[in-house]
Amino acid sequence: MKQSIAIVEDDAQQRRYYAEALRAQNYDVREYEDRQQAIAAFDSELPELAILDIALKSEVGGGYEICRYLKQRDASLPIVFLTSRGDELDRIYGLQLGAWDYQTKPVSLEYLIVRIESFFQIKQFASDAGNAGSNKVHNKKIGDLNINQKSMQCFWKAEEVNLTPTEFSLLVALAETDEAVSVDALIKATRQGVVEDNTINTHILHIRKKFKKIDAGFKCIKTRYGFGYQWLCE
Amino acid sequence: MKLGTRLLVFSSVFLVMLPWFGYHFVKKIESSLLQGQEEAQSMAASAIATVLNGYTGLFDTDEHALYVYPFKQSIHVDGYDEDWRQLKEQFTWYGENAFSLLLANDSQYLYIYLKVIDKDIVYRNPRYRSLDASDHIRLEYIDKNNQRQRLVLLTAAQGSVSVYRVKENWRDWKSGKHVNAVYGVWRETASGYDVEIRLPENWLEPNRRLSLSVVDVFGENERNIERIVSTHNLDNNILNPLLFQSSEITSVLKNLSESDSRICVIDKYRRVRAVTGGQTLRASLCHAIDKVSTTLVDKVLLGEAQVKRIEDDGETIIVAARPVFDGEEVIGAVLVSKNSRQILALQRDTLNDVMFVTLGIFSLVFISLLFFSSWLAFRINRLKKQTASLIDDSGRFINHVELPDSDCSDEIGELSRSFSSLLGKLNSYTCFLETVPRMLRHEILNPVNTISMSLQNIRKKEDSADIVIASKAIRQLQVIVSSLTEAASIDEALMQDELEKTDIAALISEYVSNSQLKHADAKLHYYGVESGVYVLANDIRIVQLLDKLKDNALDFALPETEISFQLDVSQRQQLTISIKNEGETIPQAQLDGLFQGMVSHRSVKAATPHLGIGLYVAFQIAQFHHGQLKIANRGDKQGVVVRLILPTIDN
Repeated sequence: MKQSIAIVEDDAQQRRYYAEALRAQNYDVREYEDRQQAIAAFDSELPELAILDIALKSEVGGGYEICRYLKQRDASLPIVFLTSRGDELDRIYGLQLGAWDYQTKPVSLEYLIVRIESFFQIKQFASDAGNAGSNKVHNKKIGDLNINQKSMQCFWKAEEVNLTPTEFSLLVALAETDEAVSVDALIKATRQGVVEDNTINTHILHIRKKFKKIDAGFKCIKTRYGFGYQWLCE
Repeated sequence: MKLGTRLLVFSSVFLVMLPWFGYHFVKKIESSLLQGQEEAQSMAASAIATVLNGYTGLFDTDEHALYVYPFKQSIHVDGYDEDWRQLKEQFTWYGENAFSLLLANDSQYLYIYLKVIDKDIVYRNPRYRSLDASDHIRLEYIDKNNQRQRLVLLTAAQGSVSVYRVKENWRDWKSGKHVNAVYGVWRETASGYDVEIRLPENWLEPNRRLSLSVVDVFGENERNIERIVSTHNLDNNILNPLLFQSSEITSVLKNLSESDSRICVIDKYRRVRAVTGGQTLRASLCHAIDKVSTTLVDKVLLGEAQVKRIEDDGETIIVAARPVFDGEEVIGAVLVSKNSRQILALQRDTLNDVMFVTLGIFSLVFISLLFFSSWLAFRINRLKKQTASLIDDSGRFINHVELPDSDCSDEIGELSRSFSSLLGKLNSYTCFLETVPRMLRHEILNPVNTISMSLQNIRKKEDSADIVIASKAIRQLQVIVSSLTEAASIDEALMQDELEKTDIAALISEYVSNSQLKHADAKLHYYGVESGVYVLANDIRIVQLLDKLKDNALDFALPETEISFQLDVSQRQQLTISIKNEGETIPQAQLDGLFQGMVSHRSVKAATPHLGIGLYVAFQIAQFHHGQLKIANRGDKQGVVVRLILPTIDN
């Protein structure tokens, strides 16, 4: 059965491009041009993944509203924001709402397809993991850190740290090596298009905060000023 | 001048006018009171005059009468006229300047003072038995038995005189004994001699007739009587009546007088016949009435009623005068004198009251004005502070507090409301400006996204160099838009950040060595301590700032030249980070505008677009850290130096 993807985008031209590209990948793509239309459709049936623009027609935060609605219905639903709003605050807000990804326009269709593919995989693994217990093959243990790349789960001192996929990939990139990882390398790891250094800083801040929630003394992600970050537990 | 001060000065000027008005008012009252008093005195004088009109007998005296001035103080009989000084003008001359005479009495004695002009005084000589053989004074009076008594006063030298009772021939004494009851002193003067005499007044009762004669004797050897000048007419030999102040009139007046006004009755020869009341008045007025106001008395004696104010030694005396008639003839006058001391006292009291009340009102108004103006100033200041706190240096709203007094109906309330509306307008305009980059981004990025995706689709079908170029251009466009929004939202983003204690030396040192790794073709060098300099900062923002400055330096540095980062810590809790590069300098005039955003003054050599936004963002971050960012050309003109000055904290 085809996997269903909902696209909510008020610009018909852009929506058509997304839809065409995704249909070409054999997804079941459903297009909506505003919040009302989308919610009406979601009321009867939820998609398996949603791509949302934030500003929808006259509603400046329409996309956020849909995201909140969907997360209420299904907390594990992958949501990708595709937006022209690249402010840190917007980005933080979107990710805080539980979006898996936050991509700014212009979008690379190729990259979008890869991301969506991987999100479906993650979702699949996560549900598999949930059904069949932890999959030990993909487990990796570095000190107190325990990551499962398949289920995209991360544990610190045996407690799960709830990371977004982007944060997860950054953490993996850092934890994989003893060396410092440059910002450029981290940008590549998140597989985002054009990213300011500061976007990575924002993500790292979030990761640190989430770890600190569990362990107030967490200090393993070091800043390498002018270069990048390093996973180093002393 | 401050608002409060101005208010105080203006109100003080008007307040000072209050006592001035009060003073004028009191003056008016005074003059009307004086006028009232004049009228009252005139009426009193008229009433007295009318009463006295019936008593014509009281003024019945002949012109030869000798007037006896009443004396309050005692007289010391010594031949000197000290005691008589206040009556000096009242001496009456007799016999073509032969002698002048003045009589006075107190309750016991009659006093007589004679000033005799005599070039050649002939004193008594014991060789001559006769009593008229030297210059002497003859005194005649009628005793209580209606007998005419004759006394001779003479002396052998200056000093006490000898008094003898003599026979009618004035030559032989009756008993040869001194009359001790009469005491007199003889004193030589430049023009002759003075004699002061005292005799018991009861000798004269009840006839009150007395006469004095001065006998001038010529020649030390001859001793002939040369001249006799007498106060009475020697032809009819009737003694002068003594004119005391009339006790009858006085008793009439006593019933009419008030204690504070002096009533004075004079006869047509201007002699005071009765005085009553007015103990508080200066005593001389009635005695010296001729002198004080001759014209007044003249006119009254001509039958005209008079009122006059006399300024005397600082006080005003009002004299009302009315003639006393006997039929058509004026026989005397009544003078009612009263000083205005009472009125003046009243005036002084009123003035004092006015002063006190004014002072009271003044201080009350002053205090309330002070309070009011301070209150106003406080409100204005509060409004100023609140208004200032609402917006930051760049005019953005940072608070949404309601301004004080905005519900007041006064001017400050109005000011507050108009500030509110003004700030509201400013806010909406600022909001509009702030949303412009976002709107622009939204509006630009959507078509850019469409183009980008179109290009991707085309590229899938056929790849050409043109498409690659177009894709590159799209990326550049994206960078421009994202740096625009970064600049626009930097303030907002900074406000979310937290500051913590950061070792800036370690940070820079690490930053420079890491950056060197990143930019292998550049020469970055750090000069300064490796650690131990602390600031309150957000390290990621500091790195962002350093990135901007480093990128700027890299863009404009000449190839193969060094970019130096230098950390200097000054004593005054301050550190300076100088970033120097070699290369093109910036015209002096443009240096100041460099941090305002969207301004770039140097020709671009980098591939990335250069809007000068980097410096603007760096400037905002520096400000957020309470620091300063300064850009200048190097002293050696070989390039540019950017200085970041930050406050340090103690370790």
